[in-house]
Amino acid sequence: MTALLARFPKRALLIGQIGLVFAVAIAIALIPVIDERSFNLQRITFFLLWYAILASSWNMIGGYAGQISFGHAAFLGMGAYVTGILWSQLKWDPLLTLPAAGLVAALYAVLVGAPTLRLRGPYFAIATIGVGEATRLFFVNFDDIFGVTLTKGVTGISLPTYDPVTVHYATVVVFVLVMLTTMWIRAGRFGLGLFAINMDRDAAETAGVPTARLQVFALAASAFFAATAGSLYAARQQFLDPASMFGFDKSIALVLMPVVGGLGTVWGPVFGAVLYSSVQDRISSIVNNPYLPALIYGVLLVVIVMFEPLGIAGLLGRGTKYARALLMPKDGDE
Amino acid sequence: MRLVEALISALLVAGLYATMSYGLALIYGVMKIINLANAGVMMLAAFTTFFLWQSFGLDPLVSVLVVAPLFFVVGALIEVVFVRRVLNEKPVVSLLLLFGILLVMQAGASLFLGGDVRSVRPVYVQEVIRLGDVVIAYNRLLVFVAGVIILIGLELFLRRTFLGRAIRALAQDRDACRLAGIDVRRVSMIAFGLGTALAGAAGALLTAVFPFDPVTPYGTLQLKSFTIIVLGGLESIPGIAVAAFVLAVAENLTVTISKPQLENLVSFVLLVVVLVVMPGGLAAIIRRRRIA
Repeated sequence: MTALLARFPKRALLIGQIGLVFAVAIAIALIPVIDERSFNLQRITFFLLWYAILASSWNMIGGYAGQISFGHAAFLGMGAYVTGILWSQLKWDPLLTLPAAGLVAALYAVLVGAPTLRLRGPYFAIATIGVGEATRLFFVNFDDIFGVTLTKGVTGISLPTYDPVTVHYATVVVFVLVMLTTMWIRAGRFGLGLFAINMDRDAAETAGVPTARLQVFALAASAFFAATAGSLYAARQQFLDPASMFGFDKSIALVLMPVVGGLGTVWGPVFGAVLYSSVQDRISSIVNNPYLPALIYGVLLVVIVMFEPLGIAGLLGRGTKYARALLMPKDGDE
Repeated sequence: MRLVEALISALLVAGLYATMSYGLALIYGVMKIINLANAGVMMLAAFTTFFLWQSFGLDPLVSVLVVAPLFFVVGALIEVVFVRRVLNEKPVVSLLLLFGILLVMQAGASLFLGGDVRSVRPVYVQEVIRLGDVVIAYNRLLVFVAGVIILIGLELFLRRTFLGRAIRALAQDRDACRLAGIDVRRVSMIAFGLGTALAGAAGALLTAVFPFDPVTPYGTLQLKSFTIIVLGGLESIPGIAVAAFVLAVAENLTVTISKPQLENLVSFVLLVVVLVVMPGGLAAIIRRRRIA
């Protein structure tokens, strides 16, 4: 795919990609305008964008910088809870809490990332497993620890009602923002630095890349967007509990989507999100056993890692190469 | 008196913690990968032990003798079929691969063996030993002794045999081993098998103390073993033994002084503190002392 794309000037390519993002965004934004009563389609597209936001945010640190986070649900849940508390207690408009939720999670990410990303070796991945679990425990026991009634432990909190169509539009906006951010990272010096770290940290350091700082930035940006996804969820579902926000299944989904879609590519996480959200949507009507999909996801992860590390994006790239080789045999081998 | 009792119970738990963490450390040392499937192996070993006990009335401590060799083979197979192929890739790849294997193990066990909570209850499970005022649970003592025997056996194997020395050499310098004529692929396979066998042994021993299902308590145990190997310094046996004890004591004190729900927060807080204050772990401190 890269060889094919390399023929076009970089700027034309970037404009094309941005156009694609806006095309998808406008199409989905128009759904409630065209048919006010398309509740099911609105729900499906909301979760599609929601998973795409999460997958793309994970990709910023996991795909670009090659630092795997197994506890990303911590940031998602933290954003959801910040919104939940500001909304129900301080009567903020939930959509206005999005930046606040993002900033809190980004700050938390810096606290987690600063000590662990500075080290070589698998320390960050190990720490994230603990971060996920510790954050969940913190919110479950929040009321006990501080002697207040805010998060209501495992029962969760019910939030005021809010117009789902407004949340729909907000989700489209966040989706556009996350895609523009991930393209900007991919295209610029920032992304170049992250890729260099991913390939060879020592070499990157020698070349003057501030490895630790770039990785912490990437993690903060990633946590920011994951948290806004949590806020959007809170505003749409009007209910929050630790199991649905901090559950290990969320952390698994966050790893799975970008890897299946294409690690470190711009569109891969979106492909992964489309696949995952459509499977999740159908799954309960086909099998009523939650373990079968989990088993399939595990197998999928192993197969992809071993045979097609670039996931669906890699397969598509192969596809175009193959199609090109088929049509123009001389052009095919490079 | 309560303090003495707390320390003794921490020491007993530490034996188990050290056994389950050492497999991770061994594999990390030799192959520089984090075996995320460790928790899955412990769980499968626990199920094997459960079925051996249910069908043949085999005591969990005895079934270690069956389970450990069995999981040595499982580990060697995982190494040959999966891990070996991604060893030269970026570390991301092996992490994701082993995470996938963990998912398959957990979901597979839930799907085919059921998600119920099981427990192995040998006759002595309720018995206690009284030393004056101090009460010690008999099963915990047995499990501790078994864990210590396994670790001593392993230490002797690693120090006294050619193969053991080859494994340690591999942990130090892979390329030099190749130059010295060590069959790196074979020794890696054996090391991975050995690490998996240790996880299997720990899983079997755990059944004598804790009830289990396909997911709990292995998630938290996984976190604990990571904390222990980071605290211990990733590759050092004495470091890991001390770290296991430190974690067990810290948990015990938290439960006694504060709230039981916070037990699992301890390992995480300890993990972060270690990463910030002494990334080399206890082993780095021990080494520094020796040089000074």
